[in-house]
Amino acid sequence: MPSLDNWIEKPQEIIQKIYEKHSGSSPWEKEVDDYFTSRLTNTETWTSIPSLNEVLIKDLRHGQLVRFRGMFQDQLGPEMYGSGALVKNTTSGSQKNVTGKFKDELCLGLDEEVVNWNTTESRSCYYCVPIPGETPWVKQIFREKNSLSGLQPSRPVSIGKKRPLEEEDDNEMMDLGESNKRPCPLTNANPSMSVTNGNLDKILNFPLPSSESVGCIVKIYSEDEVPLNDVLEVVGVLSFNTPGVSDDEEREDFQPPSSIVPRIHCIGSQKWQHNNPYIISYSGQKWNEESAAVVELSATIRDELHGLFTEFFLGDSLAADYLLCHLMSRVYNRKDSLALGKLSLNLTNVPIDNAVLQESFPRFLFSLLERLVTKAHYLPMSLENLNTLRMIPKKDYQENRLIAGCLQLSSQTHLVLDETAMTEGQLIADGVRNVTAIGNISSWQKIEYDFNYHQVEFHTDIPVLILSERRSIVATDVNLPLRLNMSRGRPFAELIEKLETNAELLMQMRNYLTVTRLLPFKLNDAIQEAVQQDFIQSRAPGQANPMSTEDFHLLLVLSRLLALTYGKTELLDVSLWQRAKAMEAERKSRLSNSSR
Amino acid sequence: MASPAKSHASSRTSRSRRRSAGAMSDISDVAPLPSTPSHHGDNDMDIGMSPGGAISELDLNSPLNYGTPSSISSLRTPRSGARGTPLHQRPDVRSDRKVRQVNLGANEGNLTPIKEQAESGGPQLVIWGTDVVVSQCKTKFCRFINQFLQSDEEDLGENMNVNEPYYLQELQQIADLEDPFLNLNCSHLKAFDADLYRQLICYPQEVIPTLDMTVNEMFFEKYPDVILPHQIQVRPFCADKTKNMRALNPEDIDQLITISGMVIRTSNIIPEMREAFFRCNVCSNTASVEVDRGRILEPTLCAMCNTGHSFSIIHNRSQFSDRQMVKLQESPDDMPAGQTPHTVFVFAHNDLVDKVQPGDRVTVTGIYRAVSLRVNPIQSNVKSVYRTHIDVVHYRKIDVHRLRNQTERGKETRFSAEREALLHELSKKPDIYERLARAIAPSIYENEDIKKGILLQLFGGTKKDFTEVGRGGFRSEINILLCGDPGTSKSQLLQYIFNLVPRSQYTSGKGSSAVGLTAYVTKDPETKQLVLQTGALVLADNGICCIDEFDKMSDATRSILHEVMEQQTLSIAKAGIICQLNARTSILAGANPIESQWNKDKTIIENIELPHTLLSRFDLIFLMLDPQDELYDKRLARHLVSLYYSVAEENETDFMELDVLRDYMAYGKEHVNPMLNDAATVRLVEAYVEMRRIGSGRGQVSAYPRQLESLIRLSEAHAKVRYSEVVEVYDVEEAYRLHREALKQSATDPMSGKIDVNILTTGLSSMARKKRGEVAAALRKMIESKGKTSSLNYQKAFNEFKAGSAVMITRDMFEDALKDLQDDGVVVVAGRSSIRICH
Repeated sequence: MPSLDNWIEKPQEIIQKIYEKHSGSSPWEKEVDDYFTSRLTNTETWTSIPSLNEVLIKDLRHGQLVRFRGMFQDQLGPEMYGSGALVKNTTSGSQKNVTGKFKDELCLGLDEEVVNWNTTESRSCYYCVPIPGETPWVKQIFREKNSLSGLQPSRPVSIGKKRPLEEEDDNEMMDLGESNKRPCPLTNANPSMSVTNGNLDKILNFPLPSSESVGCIVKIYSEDEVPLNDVLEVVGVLSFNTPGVSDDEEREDFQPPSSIVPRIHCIGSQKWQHNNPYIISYSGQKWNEESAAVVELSATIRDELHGLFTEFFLGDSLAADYLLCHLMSRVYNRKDSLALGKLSLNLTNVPIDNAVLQESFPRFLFSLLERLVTKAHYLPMSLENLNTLRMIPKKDYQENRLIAGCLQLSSQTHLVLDETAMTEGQLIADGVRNVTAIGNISSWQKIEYDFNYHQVEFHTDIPVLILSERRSIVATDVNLPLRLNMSRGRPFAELIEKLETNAELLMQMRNYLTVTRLLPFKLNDAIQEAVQQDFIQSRAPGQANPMSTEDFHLLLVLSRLLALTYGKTELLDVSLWQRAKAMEAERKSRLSNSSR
Repeated sequence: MASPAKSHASSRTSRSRRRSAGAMSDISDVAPLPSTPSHHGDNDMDIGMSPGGAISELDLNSPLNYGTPSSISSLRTPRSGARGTPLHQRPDVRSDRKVRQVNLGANEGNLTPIKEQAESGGPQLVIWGTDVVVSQCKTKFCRFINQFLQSDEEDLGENMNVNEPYYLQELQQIADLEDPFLNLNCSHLKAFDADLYRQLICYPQEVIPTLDMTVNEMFFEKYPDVILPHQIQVRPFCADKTKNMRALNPEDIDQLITISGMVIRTSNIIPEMREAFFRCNVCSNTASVEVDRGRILEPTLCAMCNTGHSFSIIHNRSQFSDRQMVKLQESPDDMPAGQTPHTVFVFAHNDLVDKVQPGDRVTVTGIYRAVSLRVNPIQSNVKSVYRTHIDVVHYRKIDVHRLRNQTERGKETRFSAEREALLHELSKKPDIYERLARAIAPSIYENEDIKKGILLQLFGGTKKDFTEVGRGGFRSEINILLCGDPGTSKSQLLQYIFNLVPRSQYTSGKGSSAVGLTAYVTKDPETKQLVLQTGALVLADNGICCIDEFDKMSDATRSILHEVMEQQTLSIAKAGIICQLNARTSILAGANPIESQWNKDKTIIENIELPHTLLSRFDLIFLMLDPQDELYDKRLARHLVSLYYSVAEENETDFMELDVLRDYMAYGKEHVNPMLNDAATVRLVEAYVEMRRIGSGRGQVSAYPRQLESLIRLSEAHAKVRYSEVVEVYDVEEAYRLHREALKQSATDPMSGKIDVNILTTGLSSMARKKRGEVAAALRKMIESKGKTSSLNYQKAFNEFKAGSAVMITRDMFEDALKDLQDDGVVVVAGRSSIRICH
């Protein structure tokens, strides 16, 4: 049996061995599959594979196994390739079968030549980018985890020359964290190509600016197609082969240089429903255990978080409740055009003082959220941004790729819109389209990508939080005027600082936010009945404030989210329902007050 | 002109040439070919069936012979040289390739390279790797052409006779029109000779030239005098093996496939070298070399002077053909959710170049190819990736005249036969109307009548055109307005319809979801509220325009709607030019009452403050009110809760699937054009008279021709729902019921409790008008009682009148009355303070 290092360093050899053993006939693929699956099911070995997100490209070698966590940004269409070839050695005359699977080209000796291609198969290709909006702490922890565990086994003692590089590597790892965008080292035979920064952005095509500077093309061999914008961690064979020189000048396939966009031939993958680095499981038994541990603490953590938010909102405990519910929101089901479970929140009455922009309330709020959630993006909704930013992804037929827009986000990426940046002025056509797109996400959780000749609708799950002076121009589910007690001063920076000091609590809060929103939830029949009764009663003749259908919709969502904040997967009595009603009542009274 | 003997002779020569071609390819060097990968197994023997080395009977007249090379004879027109019909290569089929790697399937047991059985009549060849016997293939195809009768009348073109062999008539057309292409519907072939069909699909590269050969032989036998631009080329289409673009896989390589999609890019015309012309620099000896898989083998040794490497290429005398690269994208209907559309490359050759434009929806029949990337000779690494494309042999445009709403010959419906059968079966169900209505927006509770109204709107009335008699087209689109309390899921309903109907627009009178071209952001200085002022309204021709918050729409936009909703056109005046565009769009609008809640004591006009001129253009106006009745609430509550917390399967059985619904509607809208029968006409008249009578009882007219038109449209739509070509009494009844129901909700006079169409047509109920008249009369009386005074103080007069009146008089009423009097010439209101009395 090959050693551990061997299958990470030289997976091709193993694949070739198995291929030859079966001389390319049917069970060979299953055996390859089994071989790697048996190793990859172990979380520890999985994490021992170096991750392309954290390890510099120049430290990785062509043909080794790597990991990459990212969002599937674009589907490049299937690729047909010769999966088996008969290769003849011209000097010895011996022939052997070579597989073309898991590689871009066959590596032949000088005296070898392909006699014949036996089989042709197709694989699907995707362009994969680092998870857009991944918050800095997530990156930091992944970096700590992956640079330690990832590099050691991949540096076998047998390759002596790699040894002295070790110290250097670690230093550079730190550098990467500091400097925002460093040009990628060119790893292979393409020295003439120098990449300027602007060009790099165009090639990488990230939906959001990111400190990372690597994307990759993932080639998947299994039949099932990966939906766009899914977040996966893939394990596969790294390939630096330069893209083929097209013999047809008319073809315009998307073939970025592999020094920036390496290819990964996928061997295994894991769909991520969250990207919290503290929680390593995503489903199954392990997930149940991990989530149960988090849920146990949920009541206390909820109080902590609620307290933190209340302090942050200068004593507005209602806003803290709504924010908590908003952070729990997730589209858990769709019925015709309705997205159930979402709760877009519009906090109004945001103070506009003369503070430096960096110190504005929305900025502070975002930097607080950024420390808690795993994916978030802050977007000042200024006229300029709306008019000039590319928000809606658009297909570029010239380049044959989907040009990303900043609304191409994976599920549960918190979008914080700062409408205080808005000024009076003209919105041009693009601006109107962008506002429409934001409105569609907020109201229906869908976005229409621009495919030039037609639009293609994609479902989203992006919680939208809008901070504005008055009711936002974008329709939201909940509109809450803040009641900030300004006499408390501006303790925002201190609060964030204080939060940072208690690492243990911070971690618990993060885990709490990740886990509770993913919990399943149901309403038992008795409560359902009670809730319905409540609705009917409120509409009985003579009642002051009859509940409208929309109120009822909102209450159903709110009560669900409220229960989740307590880590409850079921409503046991109507107390939380009543809480939700009380919250709504208070909100409505605030609304009518503020409009007066 | 050609004698049988001659033709026999020529077929004999063809045989001999063929043999030599076979021999040639036997000895030809076979390089490892990554180009046409065979996936069946190992094989290293190649053969081509097309004779390449034959000497052309046609000499090159001009050294400049771009575009249409005509030198290579491939025996497809037996007597071409003599007749003047030149031969063209078919780059789409690549019949001119000498070497081709052939896949050996496991099922072929008898693999003799070339079997030649001397049968009387012609040569018989089995092509390597296939089971195609050339002579059999020819006989079969000949029989097909001679015997196939087109049974389906629908597909039959003009001047075609059902009782005569279809393709013989096509040949006749070729002779008449001198258009040398024979379009072969593969489904015909399949029905006639399944085996030949299978061969065509599996080995198009071999079979299509054989068919070409057959057709040409037959044609020139029949019409020996006809001179065509070039030999007839068979263009098969509608191969049964229609593939979804997503389903293309390596097994389809080198097979005939049919896929549909949308053209997104076409390249310029690329001249592609077919044959290179070389001249020896030493002795001027010439040689021509065919291009083989994109490569030219330069002759190394001159046959005349024995000089090595002395040849140079003469571009002017080389042969070129046209090629165009077309990029085809999967049509949105074929796409699974969450995926981006796939694209394929299509190469069009010669005549098919520039036949399609970007944006066209086409069905392409062609041969699926895989070509390896060029290997870098310096590197020892070998690319294992192929590029794939389709060599098109036939284009078929879909829905060319979609915008014009015409049905043309051979127009393809998007539905397969099974689908159509399913739809028709559905239409037979007695409760189809209710069933469909229920299927609309199941998440929205009840409101059955509104859903029924919308359903009728989705189908629309029958298109009528009276342009010839000078009346112009009648509107067939149905417009609906939903008014109601906020929070009664109007927006949801609009959104649902927007999602359901392919060509639809969703826009909002104000707010974020407006679809204008530009907008302006303003800030209210007092409330600091940001407001988005939107620009133009975008209307889709032949679609549905869902307008939310209709009442909040700016006057300018609304005024456009006046024209759109009645004339179905849109006039644009720019730079002195007035241009009228078609905007045949149905409008589904939602409006909120001015006050936060619907005021039952006010008329609809007062509640939503829309001009009655606009309101009268709506066929149906529904009120979506919160009924606030306990039983209703109970069911509503259960419905809403189950929306959030139900098990998924519960709903599945009850409702119609969305795509079935969509197809059902699309088919109905397009294919059913019901006409009124006599009974229905009588009933319509009755209904109309009835409507008018209701009003006439009070001395008012309560229905106008516009209402009658609405009724007709609604009845037609109802007949369409059940795919009936006849509008029957039953349809009229339902239309009348629905119309009355809507009227009951919207045009009920809050004062009298009776339905009063006048509210919609004049904005005032007859009761209100009567009252206004009374007030005016009383005021007149009062003024007359004043006697000789020439003017009155305004305020004083108002106070006096108020005091003297038995009923409560508001200032508005007083002003209205004054205005009436002024109109009658009794008084003149001079400014705010005085009233002059005219004597």
